[in-house]
Amino acid sequence: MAENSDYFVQSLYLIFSLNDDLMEIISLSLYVSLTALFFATVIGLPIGALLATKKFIGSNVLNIVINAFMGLPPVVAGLFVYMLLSRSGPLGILGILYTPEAMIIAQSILIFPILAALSRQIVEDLNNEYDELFRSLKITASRRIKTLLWESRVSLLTVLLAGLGRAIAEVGAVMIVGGNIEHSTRTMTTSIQMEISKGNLELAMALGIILLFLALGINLMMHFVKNLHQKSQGTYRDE
Amino acid sequence: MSSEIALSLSNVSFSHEKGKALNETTLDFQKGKTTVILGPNGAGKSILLKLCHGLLSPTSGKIVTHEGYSRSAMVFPKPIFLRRTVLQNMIYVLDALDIDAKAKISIAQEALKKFAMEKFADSPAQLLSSGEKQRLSLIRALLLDPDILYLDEPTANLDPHATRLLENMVTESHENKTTIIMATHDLMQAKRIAEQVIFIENGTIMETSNTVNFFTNPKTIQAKNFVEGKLF
Repeated sequence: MAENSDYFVQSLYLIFSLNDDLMEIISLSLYVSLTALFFATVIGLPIGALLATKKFIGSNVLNIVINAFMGLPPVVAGLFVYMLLSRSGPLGILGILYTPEAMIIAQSILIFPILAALSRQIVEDLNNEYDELFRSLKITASRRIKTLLWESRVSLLTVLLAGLGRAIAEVGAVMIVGGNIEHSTRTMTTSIQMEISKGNLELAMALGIILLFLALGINLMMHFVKNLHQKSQGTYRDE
Repeated sequence: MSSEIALSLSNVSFSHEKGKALNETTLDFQKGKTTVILGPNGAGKSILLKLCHGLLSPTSGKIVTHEGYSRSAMVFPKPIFLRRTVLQNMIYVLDALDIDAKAKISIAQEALKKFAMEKFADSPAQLLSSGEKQRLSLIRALLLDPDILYLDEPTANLDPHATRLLENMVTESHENKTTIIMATHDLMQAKRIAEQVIFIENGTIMETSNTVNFFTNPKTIQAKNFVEGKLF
C-alpha cells in the first residue's frame, strides 16, 4: 500500500512539474484523437443525417452495417489499416505506417460508425417532429439536413464526446498502426500499457489521472453548454 | 370560368394503409373566397387539405393549381416551431426567398408588429402558449405571401379568446384577397368566417354550397344532421 501511495505522489509530481515526456505524450494523444474526431465528424454526421432523412437503395443495409461497426474491435480496425498502409498494401506507397497519420486513420475508422449511427437516430427523431413543417415550406433536402443538424447540435455534441472518448481511450489500433515509437507515435494509452509492463507505475498513473480528468473536463464542459442552451431555449428536450 | 378558380380537383382519390380516405372527389375552390371544409372527426378534411397543399399525393385523379395560385402555405392544428426564438423562426421561412438578410429581419419584425406579437420576438418559440403559437404559426404562413392559405383546424386546441384573435387574423388576411381554405368541425366558426362550405363525411363530399344556404337549407340528410348536432 505504501508503494502505491508513493507512486501516486510521484505521478502527481510528474503532472505538476509539466514533465516534458508526459506533455509530449498528452499533446500527441490529443492531436491524434481530435483530428480523428474532426474527420469522423465531417464524414459521419452528414451520412447520419442523410440516412435519417432519405430512403434510397441500400440505405437499410448501410444502416445495419454502420450499427454493427459501432462495436468494431480496435485491433480489427488496426489490422485493417495496417494491411492498407503496409508496404505491400494498396496505400503502402504513402509510407505513413507507424506515423500519427496512420493512427488518425485508424481512430477515424473506429469512431465514424459511432458518430454516424447515433447522429442518425437523433436526427431521425427530430426529422419526424419537423417533417410536416419542412414539406409545407418546401425546404430542399440539403437545407433540411443543415437545419436538423443545427437544431440537434446539443445532442450531437454528446455524440461527439462519445466518439472522442472512444478515440482517446483506445489502445489496440494505435498500437498496431503507430507502433508506440518514442517521440513519434507514443500516446497516453499505449504508454500506460508499456510503462505498466516495465513496472514504471508513476508515469502510467500520471497518464491515467490525466485521462480521467480529461473525461471529467469534457463532461463538465458539455454540462455547461447544455445548461446554457436550456436557459436560452427554455424547453430543450434532448436530454 | 377557370379565371375564377384557384384550385381544381378532378376525380381525386386517396388511400392509405387503413383504406380509402377520400373518394373520387371533383371540386373547384374559388379564388379570393374563404371556403370552410366542415365534417366530423375522421371525415377526411385534413387529408383533403394536405392533398391540395401537396403534402400528400393523390392515389388517382388530378389536382390543378391555376395560374397565379402557385404560392401556398399551411397552418397545422399543432404548430411546429424550430428550437429558436420567435423572430428566428419567422426569418427561417424567409430564407428560401431571394431577400437580403436585413430586409428579412425587418419584414419579420413588421409582421409580428402588425399582429401585436412583437413583444415575443426574442422569446423561445417553444415556450409560448398554444394560442400564441398558433397566431405565430399563422403569421409565419402569411410571411410567405400565399395565394392560397390552408388552415387545418387551427383553433382546435384554443380557448374562445384565442380562437377569436386567430379568426380576426384570418379575416384580416382574407382582406388581402388571399384564398383561404380551412378545415374545421366547429359550426359556429364556419358560420362566422365561411363564404362557401364544403361538407365532407367518410371521405365523400356530400355538399358544396354558400354559407347561408348550407346552414338554412342543407341539401343532404347527413349535412342536416351535422348542422342540427345529431349524432351519426
